[in-house]
Amino acid sequence: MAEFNTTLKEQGDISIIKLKGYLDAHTAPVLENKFNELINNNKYKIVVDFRDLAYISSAGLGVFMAYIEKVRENQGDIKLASMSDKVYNIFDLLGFPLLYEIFKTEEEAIKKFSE
Amino acid sequence: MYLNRIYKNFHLTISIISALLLFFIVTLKAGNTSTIFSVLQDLVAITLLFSLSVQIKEYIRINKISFLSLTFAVAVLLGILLMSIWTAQMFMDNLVQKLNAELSVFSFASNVVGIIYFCIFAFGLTFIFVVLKEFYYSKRIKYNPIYFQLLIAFGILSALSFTIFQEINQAVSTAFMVVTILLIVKNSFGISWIAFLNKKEKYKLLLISLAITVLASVLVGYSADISLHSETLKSYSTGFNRIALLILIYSLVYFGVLFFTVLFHLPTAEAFDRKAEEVSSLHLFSTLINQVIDFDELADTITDLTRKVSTADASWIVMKNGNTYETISLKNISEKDITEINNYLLYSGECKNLTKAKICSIEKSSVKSKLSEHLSSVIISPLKTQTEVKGYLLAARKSGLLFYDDEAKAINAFSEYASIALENSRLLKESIEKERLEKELDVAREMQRKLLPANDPKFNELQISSIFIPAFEVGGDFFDYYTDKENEFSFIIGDVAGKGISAAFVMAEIKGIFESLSKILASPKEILVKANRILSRTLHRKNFVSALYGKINFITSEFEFARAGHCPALLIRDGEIIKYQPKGLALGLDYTESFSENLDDLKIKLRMNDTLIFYTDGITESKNQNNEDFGDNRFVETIKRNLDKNIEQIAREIISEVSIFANNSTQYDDITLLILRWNKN
Repeated sequence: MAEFNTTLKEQGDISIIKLKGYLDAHTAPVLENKFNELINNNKYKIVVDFRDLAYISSAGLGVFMAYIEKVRENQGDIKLASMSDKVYNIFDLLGFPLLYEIFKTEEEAIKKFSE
Repeated sequence: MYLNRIYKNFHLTISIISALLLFFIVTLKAGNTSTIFSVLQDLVAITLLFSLSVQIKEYIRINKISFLSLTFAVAVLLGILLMSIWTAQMFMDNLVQKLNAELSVFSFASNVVGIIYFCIFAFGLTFIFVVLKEFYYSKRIKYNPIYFQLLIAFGILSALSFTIFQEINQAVSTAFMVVTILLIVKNSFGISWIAFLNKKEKYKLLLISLAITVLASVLVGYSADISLHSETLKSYSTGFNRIALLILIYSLVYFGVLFFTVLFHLPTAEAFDRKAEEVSSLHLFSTLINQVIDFDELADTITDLTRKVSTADASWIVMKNGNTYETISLKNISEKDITEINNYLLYSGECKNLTKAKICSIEKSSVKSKLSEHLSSVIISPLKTQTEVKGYLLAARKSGLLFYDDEAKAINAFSEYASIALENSRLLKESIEKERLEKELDVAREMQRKLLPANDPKFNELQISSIFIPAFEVGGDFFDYYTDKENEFSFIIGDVAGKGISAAFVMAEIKGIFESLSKILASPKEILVKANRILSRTLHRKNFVSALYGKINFITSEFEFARAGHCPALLIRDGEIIKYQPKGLALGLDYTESFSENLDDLKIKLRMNDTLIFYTDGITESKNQNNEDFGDNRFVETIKRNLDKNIEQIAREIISEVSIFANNSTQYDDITLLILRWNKN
């Protein structure tokens, strides 16, 4: 079974979740827990770093949908960054770029928050 | 009717008749001392004793009276007999004379009292004899009834010879009596049944047997003497007096021996109790292994039994969970104390590579002061399967005493049983869970199969070919055809995010929605927009559905479609592959107006031999052993190589290429492939 894990980094009031491995129906709960934790701590400015993510399935994409409303209601956002072309194509096919801001690098995403 | 009742109570009838006979013989005899009368009396008395013994034996067997209660009954009976003698002494003097006097009203009355007196003794002594016989036959390792039968035979011989030769010579009778007493002594040894009593019962037995010994010896004194008591009995049966004496001697000897045997057993009673507990626990355990399904219940039973077997004050089980230990069951100990002891024993490396039970003293350790209870000695025993240690079974004792080696051995044997039982229970739980999941997936697969069209429709203008390969976990692919409208063919292909039964449910909902919308609305874009709106009511936030809806008009040769986040449509025309990916969000991602704003409709005028290919990401995301994707390029190349073939062949080639690529890797997602070829100018 493919591995998946996340690491969390704080920069000011912005939380950066770094994804690693394979995000699918089986590993999605790991990310869900991470989002729950942030939201419970009232951290709504979230950047997700996709640099080390090898694969994402539709169930993995669903995780982002599950929390976006709640985050935006609280004047926050989930911004996505550093996607490989392959992962980006999956997001693109489903039309995610219309719903989420996707950045080339983590820094750009963080900068966007401070604007 | 009466006969039937008599037959049923055959022995009772015999007893009553013999008692009455004795009464009449004594009445008629009226002082006659003829030997024939005496022998007759003896025979009747022996019959009475025999019939009584049969009834008493039945009663004891049927009611399953415990041995301890029987000894108590013997003591009580002896007491009653003694009381009877004392009470009778007040008028005995008169009684004996009148009994043997000539027939008169007084002698008749005395006879009534006398027969009752006799019957009390007959019953009491028979009861005692039956109990002694039960004891003799119970739990004998070497079974040899001959000595007991001899005992009875010599007893009776002694009694009869006493009656027959009472006037001439007592030597014969005495000789028989000596032999009988020797047999009594022989039969009184080798008492094994007391071993099965526990300590408390042994104390009780000690007291009772002492009481019996004392009572029996007093009664022997009354019988041996030429007392009024024995004179009375002799009036009814000379031999019975002898038998009574022998039975009393037997109980005196037997319970005397019993008293000392129990006395010597007492010091080891506790150890014996523990061993007995161990043996019965292990036995209980071996049956438990095959019975208990509930893991927690089993763990609880094991903990409880462990505490009993080792006479520990507390016991608990910890199981390995990653790098930590989790307490799954505890008895008589707080969580806090367990944590302290675990920290001391398990994490400190004290018990590394433990292969069998080990006794650890915590008397002088640092952990002792942290405990809320004064535990001083701990046994720790590994619960291991063939390959690894899964956890530990622990027991702790409060008193300053260390555990003994034999207790460690018992716990060791116990933990071996326990680990098998726990492992069995865990495997069972796992397989039940697995079976449940498989059942669920079976249902989901069946649902999906029924939701998909059974065959591809046939038209002159259009060839249709489809292939669907489900993944083990049901990936959520679906497609459907709509052929109700004249000169028109519509279809949908889609993929529900998620797997299993939940995906199958969404699929069923989607099928219903599109089937009705395809009848009402004409434009693919409108249909998708409307479907998105309907789904907003039911679809969970994290679920979404990619779909592509297409429509072909047979008269205008126009193909119109819209794509809601689904894989692009491919058109093969004149040896070229054209990819169409108009804008469109997946259904369920956005319920606002922007869904419609961002959805493009596309129209293509079809030409002869135009081939359209629709698919789900199960094809392009098929993985090989190196976790590489099949990908768009391989997909397009495969199509290019097979352009000139018919559409069934193209579909088959694509699928075979995918399966060659995936080689034995698991298919994680459903695969759906839909190919259309236009046959009209």
